[in-house]
Amino acid sequence: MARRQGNKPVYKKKKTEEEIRIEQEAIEKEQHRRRNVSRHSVMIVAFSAIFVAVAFIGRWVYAVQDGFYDSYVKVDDTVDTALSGATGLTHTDEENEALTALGTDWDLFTGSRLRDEVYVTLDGDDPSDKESTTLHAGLYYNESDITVIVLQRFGLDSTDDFLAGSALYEETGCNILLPDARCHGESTGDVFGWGYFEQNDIAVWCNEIDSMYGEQKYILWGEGVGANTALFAALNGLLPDSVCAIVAESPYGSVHQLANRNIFKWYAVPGFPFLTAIEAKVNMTDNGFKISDTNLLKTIENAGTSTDIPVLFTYSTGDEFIPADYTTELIEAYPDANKQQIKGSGTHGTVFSECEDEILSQIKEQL
Amino acid sequence: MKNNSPAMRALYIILVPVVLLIILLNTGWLQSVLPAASVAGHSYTTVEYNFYYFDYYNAFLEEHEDELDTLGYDTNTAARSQDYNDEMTWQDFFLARAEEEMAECAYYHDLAEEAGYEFSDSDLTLYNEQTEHNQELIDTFGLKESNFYISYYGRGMTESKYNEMLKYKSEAYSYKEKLISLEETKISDDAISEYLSENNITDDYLSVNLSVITLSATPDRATESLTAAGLNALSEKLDALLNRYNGGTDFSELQSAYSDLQLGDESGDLANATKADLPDALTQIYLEKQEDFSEGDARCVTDDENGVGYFVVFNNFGASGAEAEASEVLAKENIENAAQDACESDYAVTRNPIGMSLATN
Repeated sequence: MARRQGNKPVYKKKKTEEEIRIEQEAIEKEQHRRRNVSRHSVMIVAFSAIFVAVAFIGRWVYAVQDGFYDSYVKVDDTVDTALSGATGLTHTDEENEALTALGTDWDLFTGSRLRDEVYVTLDGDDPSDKESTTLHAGLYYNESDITVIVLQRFGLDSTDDFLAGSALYEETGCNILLPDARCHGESTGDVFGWGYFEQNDIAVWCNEIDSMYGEQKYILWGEGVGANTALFAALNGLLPDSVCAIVAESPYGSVHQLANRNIFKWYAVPGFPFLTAIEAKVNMTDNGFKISDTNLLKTIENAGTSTDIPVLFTYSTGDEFIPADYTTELIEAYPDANKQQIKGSGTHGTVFSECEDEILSQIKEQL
Repeated sequence: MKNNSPAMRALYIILVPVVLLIILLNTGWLQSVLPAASVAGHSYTTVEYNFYYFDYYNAFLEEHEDELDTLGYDTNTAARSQDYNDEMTWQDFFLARAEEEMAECAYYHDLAEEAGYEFSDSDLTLYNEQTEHNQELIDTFGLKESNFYISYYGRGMTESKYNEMLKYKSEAYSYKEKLISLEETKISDDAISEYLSENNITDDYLSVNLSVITLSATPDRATESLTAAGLNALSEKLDALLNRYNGGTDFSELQSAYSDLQLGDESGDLANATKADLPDALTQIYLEKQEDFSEGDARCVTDDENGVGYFVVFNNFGASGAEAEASEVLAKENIENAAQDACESDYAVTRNPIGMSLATN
């Protein structure tokens, strides 16, 4: 093909075979180079995407780990928001009616009495080994020599209902002590030990009430982690002889067992890697306890022999908050002597309303 | 590169400032800097003006929530579109009341400054009550705090600005109460006699000095109303209090541990209490019957209608109750008349149209 330069046509010189071959080689080389770059680019993009994904997931895991740790171990301001995700605490209309009736009785009990606020500061021998912890409790003193110590479940404190309280008082004339667990209500504390530290606090309360009103007989009434706390204390020999009975409502085998179920059921977050990360944080932080310390089944295994203190296990077969299986497994493992169980058929927290007479009769037997 | 056509350029010139303005209005920045009104040298931004407006407006709605229809106010329609009377719309009414309060606060604050009065925590009763009330609303409706202040007090209102304004208001009205107490001592006997005569007040009584612990009955949790059982429980609790007191426990210890503090000062003391200061249940016993109480007489009184119980220790009788009431009324009148005169002259509110155009929105 000719091109024009000014008015003169300029003809391209015909290429030799050698030139064509060189040109062809150059083209192939260029195409090969471009293929390599494309392949490497894909690899670079892929690696970058994987890196970003891992960093993102890692950041997510870290944030979740921090969030759960702050709510469930440090028990900070986020705990109410965290607990709002909990399921298994709704009741049927019939159950609500029964619970409301008990609640009304509790209101009349508390409305007719003065409540004393009791404070105890732990020094030196505090097992959490942190700066001194101050424990607080509300006390309804009825001039009795029997005191019921109420150990509430996680997230509740001394201002929350104790629905069995009025009936217990009617039957036994007892005093009722409502402690705030560590990091709950007005009790201070660096972390909540899920029963590990708190088991030591029961004896502190017993000593305090004895010093105020003379020697008492004590009944421990625990729900959820409160029940676990009482059982830890009994198995580890941390309770004074004046504790004559334990009522353990819906205890469970271990925190890991409960958390592994609830982290997905309540928050749609898989146990791995999130619970693993949370437990790693608990274990690696200098809190004074590890996750394994909150394993009640392990404690039963290690304790071996029975305790002298009679335990009445209560639970509901329809419990979706702390599954009945967890409690029955624990009952099975608990030393045989002096254990009884009463089961209801309803949802969590309804066993007393369903089996009140039976439960009270068992308690009176121990007194 | 192609040049933008003149039309596009014009569009950008108009669009960018408009978008900027919208953003500034939505963030509340403009409202927090533009002046809306001034009173005796005090300048108020739109946000500060809104504090007084919405404070009055919200209180009005709460106080009259059951009778808004009767009053002729519809919360679903803009206040500026509804007539309060022939002369003003409802918005004019709210604006007038808000400006009255704004002027009064400035007036009392200036008086305090002139007198060299130093405000303290005891002047924050209104502040504490209102912040507690707001927190109840926040908790009840599950609001975020930042959203609460914007929703209830307009764009640009923040918690810190609200607290500053409320503190100012609380201090002003606290100083007003102090002025009234001071003024009471200046009311002449002739003025008191004239007041009693004009109002046909013939029966006199002695005011009383009491120490009071207040307890409340727990309403039934199913019906949320007072029940006989609840009132009985309250009586039992009062008896327990009486037993402790008779057993030697100090009144102040019992008061700080158990009182709901509805009556009396922080220590539960009610000095020179008149019929205006006491609820009916206590008036009947301490001001009407006027029995021969002995100093230290302790008794329990329940107000079944309101579900309130009082543990009362009688300290002594005070001055003439009717005269004390008259002097309080006259003192209050004098102080409020002086404030009104000031608000109509030196403390008249001057509005700034630019700031006012953004106010109350």
